[in-house]
Amino acid sequence: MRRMLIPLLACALMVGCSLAQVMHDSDSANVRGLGDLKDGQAILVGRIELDPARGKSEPVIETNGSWMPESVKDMLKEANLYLGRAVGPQKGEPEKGDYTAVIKAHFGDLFFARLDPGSAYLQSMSYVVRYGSNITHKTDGSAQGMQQRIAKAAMRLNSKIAIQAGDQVIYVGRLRFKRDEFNNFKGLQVIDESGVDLKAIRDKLGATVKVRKVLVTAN
Amino acid sequence: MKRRLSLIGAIGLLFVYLTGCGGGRTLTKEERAQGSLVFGQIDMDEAPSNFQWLSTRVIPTPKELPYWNFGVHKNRIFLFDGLPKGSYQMDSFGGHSSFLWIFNNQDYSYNFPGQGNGFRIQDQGVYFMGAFKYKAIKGKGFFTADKWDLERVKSPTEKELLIEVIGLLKKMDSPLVPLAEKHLRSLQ
Repeated sequence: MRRMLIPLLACALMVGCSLAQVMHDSDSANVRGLGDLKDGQAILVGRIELDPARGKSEPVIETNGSWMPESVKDMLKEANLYLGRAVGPQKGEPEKGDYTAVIKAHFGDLFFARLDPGSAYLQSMSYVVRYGSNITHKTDGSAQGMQQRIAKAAMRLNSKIAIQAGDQVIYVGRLRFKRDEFNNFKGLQVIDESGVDLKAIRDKLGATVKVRKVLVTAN
Repeated sequence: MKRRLSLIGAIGLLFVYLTGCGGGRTLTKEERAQGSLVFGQIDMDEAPSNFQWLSTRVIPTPKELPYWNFGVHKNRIFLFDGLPKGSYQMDSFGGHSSFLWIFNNQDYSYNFPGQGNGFRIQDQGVYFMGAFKYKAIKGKGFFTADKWDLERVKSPTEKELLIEVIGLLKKMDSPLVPLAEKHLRSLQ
């Protein structure tokens, strides 16, 4: 047992280090309430969904019996919505330096994220399509390390949102990303569900919170 | 068609599951005769490895037999004679580095992005995926990983490559030789 402990700890460290690059937790824009805001900031509220929705086989997971950290399980369920001061890259997932913050949201659930004063771009939305990991072994059969591969799909929006003086909440509705079977972006449908979502927003942020509706388009 | 991915995520990631489930099933000659010919080329001159395998994934991905492995010939041509109807997405390809043809101790796996790279086979036919060149892109700093692209190139043309492929199919005693020759005539 002790012989296995060090390699397993090494595996955990390797996974942690590699995930730190992927998760960008320090860049998270998610907030719990108005108390998380500084002067001039507002909260962006909306939902993200895929059309067609994810099937049972999505994302493709191939762990080959290796242990999966809780953070990875969360990552597999999440959509990442990248916020930036300017438009993002034409293709692919924005890289560090392209964006200022990331909204992490479970598909279909309301997200609450901080917007800095001024204008922001919803650059693109990405999600994990494939996750694979396996434990490598030394020639004597003992565990040596863990290898991972993560493949994502990114759908470019580049939608501009301008914060106005006095904004507390900007509601963008349900962002429905249409796709084909190869996860190519086929268009954005924005659905105004403010009638239902307003109650959830007020339950979370207070009955007197000021909500402004901004229905975005993909550019 | 450009593909770009961190080389750091590619080097050394020859996953056991890929080799394990890549071509879990062998098609009979009769089954291959019902399928399609899919082929293309990757020029790996700028890659740190040679080109030994290419894997495509079935969409939507089933638990059983999610991958089909292409045959790789002459270190550049990939082909599948008899791919069944369906939707597929290019998954990964790879090979190994070598030094003086003796030390083949580094495996390389290059993962396609999780988006795009797909093709549909609705009817039996000949499908040319294109000719590509592996382009190495140096990282900007000491800690910045190198990247790569697959860049579409004009040469060889479909016709030029198909002539080579037909030669390979004949050596393999493939039932799709008549189909390939008929397609070649349509390219004249």
